[in-house]
Amino acid sequence: MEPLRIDESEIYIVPNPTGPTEAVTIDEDICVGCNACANICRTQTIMPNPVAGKSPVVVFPDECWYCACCVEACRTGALQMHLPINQRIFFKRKATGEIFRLGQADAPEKTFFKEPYGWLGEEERA
Amino acid sequence: MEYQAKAEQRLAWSYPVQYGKVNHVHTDVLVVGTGLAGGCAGLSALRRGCRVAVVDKAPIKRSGCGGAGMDHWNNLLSNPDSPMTPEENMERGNLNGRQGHRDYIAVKGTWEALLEIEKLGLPIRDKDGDFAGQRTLDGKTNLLKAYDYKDMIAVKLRGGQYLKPVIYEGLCKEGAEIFERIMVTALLTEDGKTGARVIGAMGFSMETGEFYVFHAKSVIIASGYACTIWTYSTELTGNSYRWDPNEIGDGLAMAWKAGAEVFGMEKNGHTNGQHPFAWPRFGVGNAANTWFPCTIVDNNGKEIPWVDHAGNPVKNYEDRNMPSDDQPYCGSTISDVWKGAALPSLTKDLPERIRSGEFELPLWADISSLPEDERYSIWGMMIGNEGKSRYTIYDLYTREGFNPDTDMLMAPIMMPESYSIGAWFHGEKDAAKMWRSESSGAQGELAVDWNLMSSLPGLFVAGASSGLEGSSYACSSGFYAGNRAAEFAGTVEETEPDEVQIQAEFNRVYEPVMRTGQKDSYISWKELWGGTARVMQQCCGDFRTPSVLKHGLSWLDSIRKNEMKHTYARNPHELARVLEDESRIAVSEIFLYASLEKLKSEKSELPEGTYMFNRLEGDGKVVSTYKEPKYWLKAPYSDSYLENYENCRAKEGE
Repeated sequence: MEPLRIDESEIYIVPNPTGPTEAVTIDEDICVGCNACANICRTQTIMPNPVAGKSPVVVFPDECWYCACCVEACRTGALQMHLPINQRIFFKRKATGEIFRLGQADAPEKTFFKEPYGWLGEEERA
Repeated sequence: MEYQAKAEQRLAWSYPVQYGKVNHVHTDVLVVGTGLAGGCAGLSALRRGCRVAVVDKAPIKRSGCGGAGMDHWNNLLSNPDSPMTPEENMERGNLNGRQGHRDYIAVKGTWEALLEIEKLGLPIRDKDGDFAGQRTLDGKTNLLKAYDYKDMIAVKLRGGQYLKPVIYEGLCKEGAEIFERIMVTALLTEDGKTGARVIGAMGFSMETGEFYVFHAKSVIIASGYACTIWTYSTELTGNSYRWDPNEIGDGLAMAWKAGAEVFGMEKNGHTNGQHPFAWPRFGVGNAANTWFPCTIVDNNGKEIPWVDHAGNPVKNYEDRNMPSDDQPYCGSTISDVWKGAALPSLTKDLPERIRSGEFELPLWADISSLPEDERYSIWGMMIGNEGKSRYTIYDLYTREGFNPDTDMLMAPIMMPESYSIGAWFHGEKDAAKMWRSESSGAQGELAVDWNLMSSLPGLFVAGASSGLEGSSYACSSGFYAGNRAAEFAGTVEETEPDEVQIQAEFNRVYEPVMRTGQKDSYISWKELWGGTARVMQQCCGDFRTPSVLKHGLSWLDSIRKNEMKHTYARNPHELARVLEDESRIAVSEIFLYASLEKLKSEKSELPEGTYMFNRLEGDGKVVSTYKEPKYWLKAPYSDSYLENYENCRAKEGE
């Protein structure tokens, strides 16, 4: 066995997160830094980045209510909600009897694309 | 992880902070808590020509419990084709300790409120013919009936996802002054006295930390329930919460401190959906609420039979949505007031049949076996419009592969007995102790009269703060309270507030940010919350005695004098959370005092069914007053529900 090579700067101390650790994530490559998500968040879970134009920061994930108003507010689709592990249940494909857990890495492909009734298109929502 | 790493360098606060800068706002009607109820209250006050200021801890477009969306509009007994009028319903019901006038006002206005919301722009009807020819569609109105396909007593709220945004847009268009991310912390009373007329409120900004003094002629509290008083757990994630996390009882606490009467605070019951064992709302296999009447099968695919409210077999799928012969209608609300409104359900002997091995766990919700219109009623109409399920269930589950056309969703694994109770996403009923009921109208509330005015002149109450829960009741009571508050505002002049009262609140609000250094500030708002929750778990459970309740009061007082003095707030967000803890302490005291008074009253010779009210006096003493059953139909009121209601609304057409 070889000793592991990990950059020393990747080993550090910070306070423990209280969990859930990842309520909502922001894809910084897609985010345009408009703060629409931070401005609609009911619990200040997402705060504007102190540096103007940069992606907002998910600072209080443990206070998230999972209402996903931030996801709706995002015009570029940069946000994704993630259920805490203790909230992820199973589903069973009836024809095959296969059982999957929400969030598992080898989940089946998305096959349901219907929009909810009364759902407004992007222009109407704006 | 990234944020945690960045925390090393201390992220700068996102807004310029000016603690202690005082802003004065002058208005006619002030709304404290602008969810569905507060938003509708603001709208009707605006339409009466008042200046209106609406305040919320959150952004108003989406704030409040119903702010993220809504799947149902219930209690539609006021629709012209209802099988029963609201008056008939009050006559037949056993109120079981509820306040009849308050319930009546709410149910009387649900239909009008729905049409009002439609006028604001909510697309509630099936205009595209998605449900043409289906049993859920009401041919006359093009509304979608829920639960009962014979009569329309509840509707599936098409477009419900946008319920709050259309109310918000209405407020903006009609000229409300909008104050977002402002936490109101205390009321202003005439001459600063407890029990006097309410003339405004104070608070601070959760962004800039600035102080606000609202001068108003009338104030409406619509800040929702007092939640998370008994429960604190690191396992309790926001997605288990049934109510908006901003609902912690601020409005109740500030009204109590101002001397307003409260009612029903001694009640207790189940902690449904408000404990660590709950699941995502509507996010597990289930046969009730939004998932009604989904077919449930056992682990081997064997279907669980359905029965009607009396236990008679329901032969086919269609009959699950039909009232049985002895029922006026199938209702969504089950209580003594709505006697006979129980819904069909899974067979009542399901627990024994699971224990005997006839049905094997886990159970699965076979949504794919439903006819297409029913499948999309659940997954599309309702889960697609309800707040916490639109993105968190509808989008997230399908993104991760779930398809309602081909898949079944698992039900939680529970004690067999738990399958005979309500909606399974609430988690097991007995998983948490029986602390306090959070079901419709049974939680305790600010006491109100026929005008939805509290015992303090100028202080009105709407929505869950007055025990009127759910979107239809929130909006209906909101429109009503806004009108009454506007009328009151027309009868008084703006009154100069008491400087001493303002200074005292100013000092209280900023105390936590003045604590610095390790010696003085070492407790987080979360630990403080956990500490007071433990007091309530211990001292305000199912079994209450005077000695235990009194012990609870002194325990809270000890926390207030010790740990609370060392709780820190490093920014305006944490300041709000610490002040919420202080609200929780006040709310906890209300429950303890009310429970003590209840035990006292049980020993006295008050007639059965007497209504008890509690309030705080200026000298810190808690006082109880008593009223006879149905006091709202006795002098000075009329003995008719309708007449009282119409008397109160007489000025609306002016």
